Amino acid sequence: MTDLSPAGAKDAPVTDAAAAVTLARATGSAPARWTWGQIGLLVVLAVVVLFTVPNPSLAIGMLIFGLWAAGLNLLVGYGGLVSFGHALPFAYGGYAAGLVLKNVTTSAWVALFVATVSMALLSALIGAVCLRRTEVYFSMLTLAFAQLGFFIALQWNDVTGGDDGLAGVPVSTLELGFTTLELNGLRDPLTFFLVTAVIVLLTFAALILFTESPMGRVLQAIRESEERARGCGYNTRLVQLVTFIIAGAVAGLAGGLFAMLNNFVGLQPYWLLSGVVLIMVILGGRSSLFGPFLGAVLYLMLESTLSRYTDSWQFFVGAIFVICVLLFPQGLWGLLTTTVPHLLRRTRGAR
Amino acid sequence: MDQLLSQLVLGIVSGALLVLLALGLNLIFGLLEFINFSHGALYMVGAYLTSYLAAATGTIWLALLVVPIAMALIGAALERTVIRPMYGRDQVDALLLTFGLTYILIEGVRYIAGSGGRRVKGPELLAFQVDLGLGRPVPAYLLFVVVAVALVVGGLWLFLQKTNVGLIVRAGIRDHIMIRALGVRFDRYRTLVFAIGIAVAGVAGVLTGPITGVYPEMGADILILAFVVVVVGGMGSFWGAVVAGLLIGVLVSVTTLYASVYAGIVPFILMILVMTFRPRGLLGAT
Repeated sequence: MTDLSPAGAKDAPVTDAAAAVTLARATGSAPARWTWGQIGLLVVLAVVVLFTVPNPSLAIGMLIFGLWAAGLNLLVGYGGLVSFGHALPFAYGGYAAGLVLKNVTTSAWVALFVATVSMALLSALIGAVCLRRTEVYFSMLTLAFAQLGFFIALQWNDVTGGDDGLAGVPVSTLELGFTTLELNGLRDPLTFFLVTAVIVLLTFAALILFTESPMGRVLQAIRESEERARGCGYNTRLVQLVTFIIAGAVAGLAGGLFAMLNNFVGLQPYWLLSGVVLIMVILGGRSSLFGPFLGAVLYLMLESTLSRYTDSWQFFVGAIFVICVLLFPQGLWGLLTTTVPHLLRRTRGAR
Repeated sequence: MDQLLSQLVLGIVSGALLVLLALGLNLIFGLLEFINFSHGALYMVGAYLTSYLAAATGTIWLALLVVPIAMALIGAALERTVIRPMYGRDQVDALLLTFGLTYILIEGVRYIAGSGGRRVKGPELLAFQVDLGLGRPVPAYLLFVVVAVALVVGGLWLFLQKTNVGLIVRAGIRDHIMIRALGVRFDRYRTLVFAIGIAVAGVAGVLTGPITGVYPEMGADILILAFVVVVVGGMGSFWGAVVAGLLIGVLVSVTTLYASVYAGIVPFILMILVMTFRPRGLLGAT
């Protein structure tokens, strides 16, 4: 995104975060009115998933993957930083939660806390290296880190189970003070679904809070023009690093939940899983946090439907992805919120 | 010691193949300003074309001529159809688009050829061993690969430095707006450079076949290493890619001998070190 227009330099100086955001908005980013409504949309989506998806572990998986994708969109959509290695924090969170449950305690609180917080710390280290250079460098470096993590997980047999994955993760329990819930995805999927939904909703709300905070707004301003944001006196690398940490922590949390759901952590090729979550983001739309969530639900629906008919379902996923990037770069949700109302207005105006 | 030396030769061979991929990535990034994520998948397509041609003709000689041309045409067609609409849009979009292409190519090949992989027979002419005084003879085919890569690299360098077209390409990498203002039909050069990059990846695909065989995921594995090479050598640096490619090839190969557990990790450690202490890469411009 090299700013080639000489006009950029001559523009009136942008003096504060709000002005920087006006700039970001003017250059075509998230529509403002859907900010907090996204939580309501998410509740509706969760209810729809609960009542329409026949396979309970698929329904729970949709919530978990949705959260993972929404977290990634902080980087991709809001920060303009395309991470090709977002499988790493997800997988790490799974291993961390799985190992805690297996070896230390069966408390879900502890497992998820460890997965989230330790991933946040790890993200600070990884982010410090990946953000030395942005744009394409960032993409390649995140991918390389994911590959590095994959090799470590593969070779460190004693801890991770290597190629066979981490099996025998025990069923976790959730202490709530007045009662203790057993989180068994197989025997009692409804409880698992509701607990996941609450965790996902709260995290989702926190993500929206971040995007609306001054720092979140500076992040969007950096995406539009890093030079200008730096000129305003913001420490742009720090803002990007904090975002990287948040996205990593959210992915760690999602990974921990996924390990608890399956009682197993599998070793998958890095690029497959990192690609899947990226596809969810692009499919749903980069301009909001709800978009990627919708993208995750749709992707998993598509996968479970297509894989029933053909082994080459990924071919169609790739084709849909390419069509999305070519024709609807704003994604499905972007299409629904911007293009469709625009078309409606036009037809109404024609009358 | 014998082992170390023959491992060194293997490292140079795999490094040389990495160099071909990294140079294509570098050139495309320089002029088209995006990272071609489908580079590995196109390399894989080239290797598969080779496997079929070799099966039909009994040798890879014809493939060595035909496959790069075919890949150049495929590259030009891709650039003209799906990549061209990405110019003027966010850099990220082209990256994502080629990422989607990767899925299509891998699954397409898997659908046509199956996921099992295929063997490619090396040329009979080179089915002998050469004693280089390393204590253990080296298959002549491996030496042929190194020589072939050196010729391609040298040819590419001469093309960029000594021809008028190469001059315009280099100028376009510096400032394509100025080049356009001078009346050069820049779009054609973009197509050309993309085609050349893919053709070079095709050469790598032809040469790899007889060594490792071909399989649908072969491109995904090597693409990451090619990325590491580009980053370590310095983005846009021609000789940086050559040096880093050979360095990483040898490093992985030697680590395999002494501590095979770490062989997969070594390139990434090197990359992290380079990014920490010299973010512009070994030979990258500031």
